Amino acid sequence: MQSTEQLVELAKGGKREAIATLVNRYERAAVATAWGILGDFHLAQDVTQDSFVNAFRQLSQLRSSKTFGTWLMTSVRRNAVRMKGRQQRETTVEFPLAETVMQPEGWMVAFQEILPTLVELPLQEYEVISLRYINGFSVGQIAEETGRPIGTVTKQLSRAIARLRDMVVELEK
Amino acid sequence: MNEHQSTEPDGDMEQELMSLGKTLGEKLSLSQRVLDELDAADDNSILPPPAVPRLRRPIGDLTMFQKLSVATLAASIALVATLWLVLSADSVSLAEVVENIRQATSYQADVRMETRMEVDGNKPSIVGKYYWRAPQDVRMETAMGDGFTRVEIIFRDKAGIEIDPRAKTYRVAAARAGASSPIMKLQNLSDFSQRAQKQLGEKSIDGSMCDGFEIKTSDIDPSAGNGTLEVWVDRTTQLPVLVEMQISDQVPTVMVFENIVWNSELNESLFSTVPPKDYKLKKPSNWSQRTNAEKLATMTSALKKFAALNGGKYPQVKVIYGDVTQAKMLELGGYEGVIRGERARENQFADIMQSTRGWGAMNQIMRENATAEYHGLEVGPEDADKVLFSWKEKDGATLVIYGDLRTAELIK
Repeated sequence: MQSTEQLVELAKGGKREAIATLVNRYERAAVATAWGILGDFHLAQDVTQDSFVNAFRQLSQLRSSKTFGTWLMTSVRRNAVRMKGRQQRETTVEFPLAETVMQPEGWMVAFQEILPTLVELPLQEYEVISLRYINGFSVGQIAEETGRPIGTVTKQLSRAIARLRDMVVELEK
Repeated sequence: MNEHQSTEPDGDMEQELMSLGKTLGEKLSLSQRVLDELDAADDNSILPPPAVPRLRRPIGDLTMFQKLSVATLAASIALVATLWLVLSADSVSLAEVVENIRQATSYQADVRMETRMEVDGNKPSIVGKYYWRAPQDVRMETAMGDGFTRVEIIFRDKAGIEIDPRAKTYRVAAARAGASSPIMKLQNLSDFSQRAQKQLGEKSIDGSMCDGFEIKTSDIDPSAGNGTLEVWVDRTTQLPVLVEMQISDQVPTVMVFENIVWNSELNESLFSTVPPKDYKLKKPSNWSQRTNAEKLATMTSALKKFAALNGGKYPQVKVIYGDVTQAKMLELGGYEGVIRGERARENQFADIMQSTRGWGAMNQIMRENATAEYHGLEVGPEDADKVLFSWKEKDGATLVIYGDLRTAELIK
């Protein structure tokens, strides 16, 4: 399997397969991030798509190819927050999702319940938890991706899960 | 699909997140979309010209998703519509078919709904099972993936239940006491006088010879959008055995009822509203806790935007359906196919998407509240004193939107 660093270098040369692989590698965590902020799966996909496109068009500005993932996720988060701000300026009424025409599928409901809590985690913890559980990365891959020691990643994961549990319990009270 | 392998997580929360992540991965396929966008960029693109011509994605998955999500409503429409259809057909023993259907006590069918076009290389679809028993009890089972089946049990005169086995939650489903498409009303069958547009001939289905008919859905219910209904009636039993409803507005979709079994004894437990043990009651949505003023504001905003696009006329229907009205607005706004990139960021497009909230709210009120009335065919923005939309709340208050979009809450 090619490393992110290798893929980014290939992407800089316009290799389509490398770009597609990078998108496949990060799309889950990226969409989940945007979804958690925006509360809309489809809008989240659009924001993620735009973030990927902008990232690839600005790839030369990336200092270290290794950090593509964190660079992208930061961009997704920023773009989603901007979009959210724009939405709030345009409307203050929430869509009656589950009760009317847009009854989402069950997995989406489950996701929509957990995501807002997930994105409330501290950024570093959100990063490792989304890469680990949503993207399916191994701890070693996350360590490589984020440039943190494996022990640090493991601790951050444990802390994130504990914090997430506390937040869910608090919400259910 | 993600290429990474990882060890299985231990805790429930980790497992749930992992499972959700996996499902999300199955639903996503952004790589081609990203490549298309990069190809489309006329400057600063890092990509060389594509080796093959770009494929134009034919439909927008947002609308597709909405289409799939109205399966329960459409499911009800499709089969009951056959009752009307066979009344209109000339070449079968009408009297016998009609009588058979009128006397039916139940039916069950396998249901599938899928697009006729690909979205990012896939044809999104849902499959499920549908049960109906007289007078108007419905159970809809929908496969959620991962072996879970979502269940909705809906009654006309009392609350039902929605059960989500993945989340282990349930929700109370409001009674569907309000307006619905005329094709869902058995008692109105005799009101219709249309004839089937096309005889489809005969064919064998599961060894039984059947006669087929086709009709435009708009001739049955002008509010229900464009499409056709194809019905095949078994010559021996004189009952429908296969129904296909083609929805041909922005997202071409087909819904198929097959393996229809009439008058089998449905176990009472199929319609039980007792939640499974250890399932939690889902919190009511934020929407249901909105004030009447907020709900009215959402609806009037949608109506105003629609009239602006439609030459000063509100939706020209008797019943508001969220997806149908949104599709009409997109058509009026000049949006076709995939709406992405700059077009998706247009204010007008955002307005149309936001308006769907209003249509959804109106549809919810109309289907759940027997007092709800919409008069868009007769009332326009100039009719300041005429009621455009109204309904009565349980506390006796009547909420009104007038033609000029003033609103009022009338206390008895």
